[in-house]
Amino acid sequence: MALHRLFIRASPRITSTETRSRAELLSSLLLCRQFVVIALVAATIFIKPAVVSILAGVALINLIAYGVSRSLWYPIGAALIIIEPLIGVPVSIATQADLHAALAGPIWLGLGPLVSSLVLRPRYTILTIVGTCVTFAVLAPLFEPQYYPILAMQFLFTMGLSALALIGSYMRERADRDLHLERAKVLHASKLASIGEMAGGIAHELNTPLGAILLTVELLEMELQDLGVKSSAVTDRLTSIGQISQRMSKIIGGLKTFAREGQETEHVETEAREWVTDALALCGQRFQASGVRVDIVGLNSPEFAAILKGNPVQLSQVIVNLLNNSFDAIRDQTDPWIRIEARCGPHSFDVVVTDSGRGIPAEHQPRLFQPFYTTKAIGKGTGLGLSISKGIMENHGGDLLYDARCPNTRFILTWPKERVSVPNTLIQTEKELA
Amino acid sequence: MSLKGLRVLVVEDDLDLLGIVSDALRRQGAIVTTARDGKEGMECVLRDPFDLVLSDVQMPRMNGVELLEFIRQRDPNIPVFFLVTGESQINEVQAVQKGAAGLIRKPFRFAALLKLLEEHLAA
Repeated sequence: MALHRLFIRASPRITSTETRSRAELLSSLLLCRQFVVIALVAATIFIKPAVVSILAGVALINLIAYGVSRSLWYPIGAALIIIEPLIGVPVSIATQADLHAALAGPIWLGLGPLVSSLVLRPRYTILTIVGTCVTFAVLAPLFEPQYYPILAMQFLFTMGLSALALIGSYMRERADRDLHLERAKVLHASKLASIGEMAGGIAHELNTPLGAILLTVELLEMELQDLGVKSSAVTDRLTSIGQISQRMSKIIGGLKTFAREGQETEHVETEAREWVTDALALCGQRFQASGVRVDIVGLNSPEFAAILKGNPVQLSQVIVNLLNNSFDAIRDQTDPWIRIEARCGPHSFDVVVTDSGRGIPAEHQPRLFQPFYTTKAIGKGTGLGLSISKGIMENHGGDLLYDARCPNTRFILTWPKERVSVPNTLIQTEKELA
Repeated sequence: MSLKGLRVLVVEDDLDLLGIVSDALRRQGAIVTTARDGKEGMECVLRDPFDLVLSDVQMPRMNGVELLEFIRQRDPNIPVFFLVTGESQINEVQAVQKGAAGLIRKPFRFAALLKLLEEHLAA
């Protein structure tokens, strides 16, 4: 059965083994059916057997086929297959004896796509519709011209059913995709939760020995002071051990933000500075090691003191997602950089993340926030980062936007002004400006 | 006010931290006794009088809160400070409610610990 493989090749969407084998089985059976029906209808033009009973036999094969397919919609599919010949019979009785069985065939064909839509993807439904059209085209010359109006009616009836079938299969596909997305999101969230829990444990365990290192450094400094050593290579090295330990402490602080301690979804008043710094503590070091410069422009400026109600952990996650995307995109550049700024406009509060990339190609832009859409290599990205980030922003009464006007790659976390309380100094500045 | 001559009990199950905190306190002139968990701490309290107790919260055998409760039964006036890791163990309000004089989060600088203790002793 080489032909059915054409059906499979036509659909790169079919990936899982189970779906593939089911689709293969169904498509080969449907194709077989088209040929059987063409043969049967053509045969009844010349001989006069009770074709309906043969059709019922073929319907039984289909019934078994759909049973094997283990579709969720199997009961409806099966019911439709059973009534197929019953619809064919009254039409047959109404027409001439020679013709009736012949006409039953095309009607039966029309129901094929309808039934298949309940178990197959739209791509397959379109193929079965095309098959039906071909069948009509092959059969039409076999009829006397006087039967053409009846044949045309049959064709229209069939196509009407097929259109319904197509809509049905599109709706089914969309429902499938939504379900798939929901499952992936749940999986992603549970993965994050377990990573968070683990990170929390590690952070917890590391803080105590880190405390011992910091205290040792302090004690050594005091002892050197007692010995009258003011400044030397030794004191400098001690200072740098202290600084390194402080940096480790910051990284641990960032990890803790993602840990169980921060898992609660309740919204608290949080400064922009807080969650932006937490995000950077988590990945800043890795970026620096790869030569990617990350700057928070004006971290101590009043803009970053803007307070909004939200979950700092989730907001940090948005920044981390953006930073990671940037990192993957620009790490191979000669002078890669990422800049984070906060802006207070007259109507909105924005946190802007810009990197040294040259922007996102126009053809990718419409699908940027679509779940599972990724240009990264397989295994590198889930295609969920931006869609989840946008979801988080919407839950926080804001939005995540891509700025296509910027010559570099720029994403903007934006909130309407009324959701954010900005420091008095900023309000004054705006008044002065006005 | 310095820690000179003050009898301090330090209870901590991380021996590196225990050693270094004790050394630092001794440098300030304190008379330091160390214990590796709440149970050892309890034995020390039964044996000797103390002016100040510094205790970890999460420890094997007996935790810091249980030790604090034991100390409170014997003497309501000994100030007890907690050395805590992370939010999950105990927060400032809970610590004070349980009768602690204060808490400091790890990792901390000795100067910060000293400041906390001196502020308390001066009050």
